[in-house]
Amino acid sequence: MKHVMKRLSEYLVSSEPFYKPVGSEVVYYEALFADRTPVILKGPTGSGKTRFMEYMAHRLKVPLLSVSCHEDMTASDLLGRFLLDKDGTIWRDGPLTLAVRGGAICYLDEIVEARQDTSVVIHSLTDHRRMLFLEKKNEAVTAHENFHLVVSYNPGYQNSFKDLKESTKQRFAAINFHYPEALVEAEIVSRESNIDLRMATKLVQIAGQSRNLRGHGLEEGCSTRMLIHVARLLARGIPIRDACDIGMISPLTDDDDIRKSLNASFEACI
Amino acid sequence: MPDLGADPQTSSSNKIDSSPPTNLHENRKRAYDRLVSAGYGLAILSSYERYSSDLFDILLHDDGAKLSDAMSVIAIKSGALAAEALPSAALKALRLLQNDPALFYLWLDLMMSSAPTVPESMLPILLNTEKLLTKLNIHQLRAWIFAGIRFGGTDPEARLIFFTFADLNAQLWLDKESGATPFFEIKRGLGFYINALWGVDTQLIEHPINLTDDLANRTSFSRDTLYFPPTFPAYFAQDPASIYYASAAHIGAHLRFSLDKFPVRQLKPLQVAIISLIEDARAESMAMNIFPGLRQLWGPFHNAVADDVTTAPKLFARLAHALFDDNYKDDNSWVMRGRDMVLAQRKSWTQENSRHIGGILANELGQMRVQFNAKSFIVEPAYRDDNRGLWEFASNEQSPSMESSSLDSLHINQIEDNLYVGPMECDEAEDDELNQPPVKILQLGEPISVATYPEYDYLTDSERPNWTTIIEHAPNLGSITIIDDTLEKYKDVVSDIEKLIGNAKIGHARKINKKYEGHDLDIDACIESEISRRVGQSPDGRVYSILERRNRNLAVMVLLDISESTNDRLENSNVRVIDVESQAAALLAKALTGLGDPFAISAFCSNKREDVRYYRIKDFDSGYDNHSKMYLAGLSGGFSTRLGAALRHSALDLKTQHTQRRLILVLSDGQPSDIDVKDDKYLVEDTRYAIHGLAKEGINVFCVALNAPRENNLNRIFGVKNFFHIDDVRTLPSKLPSLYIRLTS
Repeated sequence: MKHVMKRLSEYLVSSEPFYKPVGSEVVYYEALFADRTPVILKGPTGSGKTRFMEYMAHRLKVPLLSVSCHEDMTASDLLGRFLLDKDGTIWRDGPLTLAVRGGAICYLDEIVEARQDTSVVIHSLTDHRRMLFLEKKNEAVTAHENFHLVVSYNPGYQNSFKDLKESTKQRFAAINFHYPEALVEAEIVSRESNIDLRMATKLVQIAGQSRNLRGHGLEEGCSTRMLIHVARLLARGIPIRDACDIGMISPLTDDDDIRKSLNASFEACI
Repeated sequence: MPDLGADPQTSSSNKIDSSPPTNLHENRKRAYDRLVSAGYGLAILSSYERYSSDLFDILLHDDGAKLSDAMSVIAIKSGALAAEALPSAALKALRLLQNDPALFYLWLDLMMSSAPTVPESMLPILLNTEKLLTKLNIHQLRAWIFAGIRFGGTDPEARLIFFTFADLNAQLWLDKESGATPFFEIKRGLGFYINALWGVDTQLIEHPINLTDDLANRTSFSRDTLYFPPTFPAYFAQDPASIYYASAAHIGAHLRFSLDKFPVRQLKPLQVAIISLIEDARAESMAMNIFPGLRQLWGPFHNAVADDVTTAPKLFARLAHALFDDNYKDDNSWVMRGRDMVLAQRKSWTQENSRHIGGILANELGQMRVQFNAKSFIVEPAYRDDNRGLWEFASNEQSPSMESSSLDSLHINQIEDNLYVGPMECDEAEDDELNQPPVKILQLGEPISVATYPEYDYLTDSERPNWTTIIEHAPNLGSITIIDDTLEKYKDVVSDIEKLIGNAKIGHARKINKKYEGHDLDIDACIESEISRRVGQSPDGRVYSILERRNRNLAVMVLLDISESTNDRLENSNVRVIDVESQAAALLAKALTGLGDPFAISAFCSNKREDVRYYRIKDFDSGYDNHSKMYLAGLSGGFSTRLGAALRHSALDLKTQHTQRRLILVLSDGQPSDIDVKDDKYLVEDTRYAIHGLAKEGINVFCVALNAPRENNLNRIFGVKNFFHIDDVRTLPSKLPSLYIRLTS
C-alpha cells in the first residue's frame, strides 16, 4: 500500500489554481464528494471543467488522476495490465485502479469518446458496492474511502453517435457547466491574461458573436480558453483584429464565408 | 460637302493651332467617298456626316479611315440600322472614355470584331453604349460581350435576349464585370454575418426588382426573412460587398429594436416615409450603442450635403444624415428641426416617439409645399430597406406580397404536362428552355397497368392470386422552387446531415482485437499468450489487431403514402401533411445523395384493388435531378392506402439492387385501408403478411409513422422495432435524415 500512496502523492495539486465560480458548482461538488456520489461534469469544451477539478482537488486535499479518454482505449488502460520482465509477469495498476486503491479522485475526461464496452468497467464502482473487479488478476478491490469518480463530456449534436449508455447515466449526478456570464467571464479573461477589464469586456462581446453561430455553421463557438488566448496576444501587442483571427476565428473554422462574416461582425464591435 | 474638320485656311481664331495637315483633309474626304460609293444609303451617310465633325474635333489626327471601315463592316454584317447607330455611339464612347484616342480605337476595334460574331446584337450593343461604358472599361466590356456570347451560344435569338437586357443575366454580368458582387455569391456569408451579429437565424431570399435602374434596388424584410435584390451596384470600388453588410446589419437592427409594426390606418405616404426614416435612425442609434463599429460601416453611405436643391428626396437624405451624425451641419430649417426634436428625447427614444416626430415633420413638409412623389420614392441611403417590414397593412389593403415563394403559404403549382423552370435554377435545362414559355416537353402517356399481385386473406389463410393491379401513373410536375426553398429553410438540418454523412460514410476505423492476422500486435493478447506459455498452457494465436473500416452496403426504396389523409392540414397552418412529406423526402434525398446509398423514391395510393396507383419519382438507375425535385413538389393526396400491394411492387425494383442490405422506408400513417374492403383487419393482415414475405427475401421494411391514431396497428404490421412514430408532423423534415442515418449505421 505504501507504494500506492507514494505514486499517488505525485498527483496532489499543491498550489491553488485560479478558478472563479460561475454558479454554485463548488458547493454542489463538495456536497456530492461528501457522499462520494459519482459526478458528471457536462459542458462545452473550454468552459472550465478541468480547471474546476484541479481547484476542488486542491481544496479537498485529495490527489487527482486525470485520464483523457479516446476511442482506442481499452479496459486494460483503465484497470491495469500484466507487464513482462525477465523473471515473469508483474501487474501494474492502471489509473482507475490506483485511484480506487489509494483514495484519489479519478477524472475521466471526455468519457463518450471511449467505446461503451470500455466504460462499463466503472459500473461496479458507481453503485453501493464501490468495488472494482480485476478479472485478469482475479482480485476485487474495495474502494478507499477517499475515492471519487468524476467524468466529463460535451453534450452536443455532433455526439449523436457517441453517447453514454442509459444504465451508465443513471449512476451519476450531473453538474452543468457553461460559459460564464459576461461580467464574470471578462474578469476571468482579464485575470488570466493581464489585460484591462474594459478590453476584456469587449472581447467577451466578440466571443458572443461566434457563439451565436454554434449549430449554424460552427460546431462550437469560442470557448473561454480561446478568449484567454486572444487576450494574451493583445497583451503582447498584437493588434486586435489579428489577435481575433489567430485566436478565435482561424482555429474554429476553415470555411472562408464564415471567416469573412465573423471578421465583419467583429468589426462592428470595435 | 460635309465639314471634314477645320480647314487650315479658314480655321477660326479660337481654335488651338494644331490644325490638321492638308493630307489629313484629303484622307478624310476619301474615307467619306468610300462610304458613298458603297451605296449604303442616305441614312447612314447623313449619320456619318452629323457626328464625324464632332469626332474629328476631338480626334485631331484621325483620318476617318477606321471609322469608315467600322461602318462598312457593321453595315455588311449587321445591317443598316446598326451602321446608322455607330457614329453617335462612337461619339458617346469617346466622351465616356475621357476623349482618349487610344481607348477609343480599342472600343472601335471591339465593335468591329464583335460584328461578325454577334451580328444580330450590334444594334442593342451600340444603343447601350452609355449604359455600358459608364460602368465598364474596355476590358470589362469585352468580358461582358463574351459573357453574352457564352450565354446565347450559337443561337442569335438567345444572344439578342442577353444584349437587349431582356434577361436578368445581362445586368448581373454587367454588375459583376464592373466589380459589383452579385447576391448569390455573398448570400451564405451574409446569413452567418447577421446571425453572428444579432443572434437571429434568418432566411435570405433573392427577389428580382428594378432591372433598368439598379441604383433603385433596395432590400426588404418581413418577420425572419430578408429579401435582397440580385445585385447592388458597387458603391465603393474598394469594398463592393460593404453595401450588403450594411443592409444586413440595418435590417438586423430593425429585427432587434423595431418590434412593433406601425399600423398604416389613415396615414398618407409622406407620413409613412418620414416616420420610417425616423425609426430607421432610432434602430441604428440603438444598434450603435451596442456595436460602435457599425458607425464605420454605415457612415460612408451618408453623403447628402446641404445645397440649394430642396426636393423631398434630398431633404430626406439630409435629415437622415443629420440624425446619423451629430457633427453634420445643415442650413435647412426643416432638417434642423427634425434633429432638434430627436435630440430632445434621445435618452428615451421609443417607436412611439418616432411615429410622433415623423408625423409632425410630415405635416410641416406638406405645409412647405414640397412635392413628394410616392410612386417614385426610394429610400436613401442605399443600404436602408424599403420599410415595408415596419408597417402593418389592414387586411383589405394590398401589402405588396413578398411571400409568394415563402413556404408558409405553400401553394404547389401543378402544371399539367408543362415544364416550369424557375429563373437560373435549372442546371440541366437547355439554353432555349430558359427563355421560352412553358412547352410540352415530356410526352406523358396514359397510365399503364404494369403488374398484378396476390393479396392475403387472413380468414382463409391463403393468397388470392392476381388480386390487385398496379397502375403506374406519371407524376405531376410542381415548381422546383419549393424544393430549393425547403433546402434553404432547413439549412441547419442540411448542414447537420452533411456532418452525419461525414461520420457515417468514412465509418471510423475500429480496432478489432484478437485476430489471427493483422497489421498490429494486440499487446494484451500477446501478454496473455506469453503468460499461457509460461504457465504451460498452449498459447492463443490470436495476437493481432486490425483496423476495420465499415463500408456502407445498402439500397433503400423510399415509399410515400399520398392517400387522402395526407391532405389534412396541420394545426393553425395552411401546410398539409403531404407538403411536409415531400419536404422531408427532399431532405432525405439530399442525405442519400451524400451518403452514396443507391435509392429510389416512389409514391402510392389506391382506388380499390384494380387501381393501386404508383408514381415513380426517382428510379434506382436515374440520378436525383431537377425532374425528381419537380415530381416531389408536384405531389398531391387522394384516395386510399393499399399498402401491401405497394410494398410488393416497390420490392421488385429493390430486388435489382444487389447490396448486402435492402430497405423499404415507408412514410405513412400506417393504417392500410381501401374503400372496397369492409373488414378493417383484412388489409392490416395482408400488409403484415407481405412484410414477412419480403423479410424472407432479405428485404427489410421500416415505417416512419405520421399522424397515426392512438389505437394503431403499427406494432402488428411492422414489428416493434421497425417503426418510429413522429408525434409532431412538423418535425418530420428535420428528423427524417438523421433517423435514417442512425437506422442504417
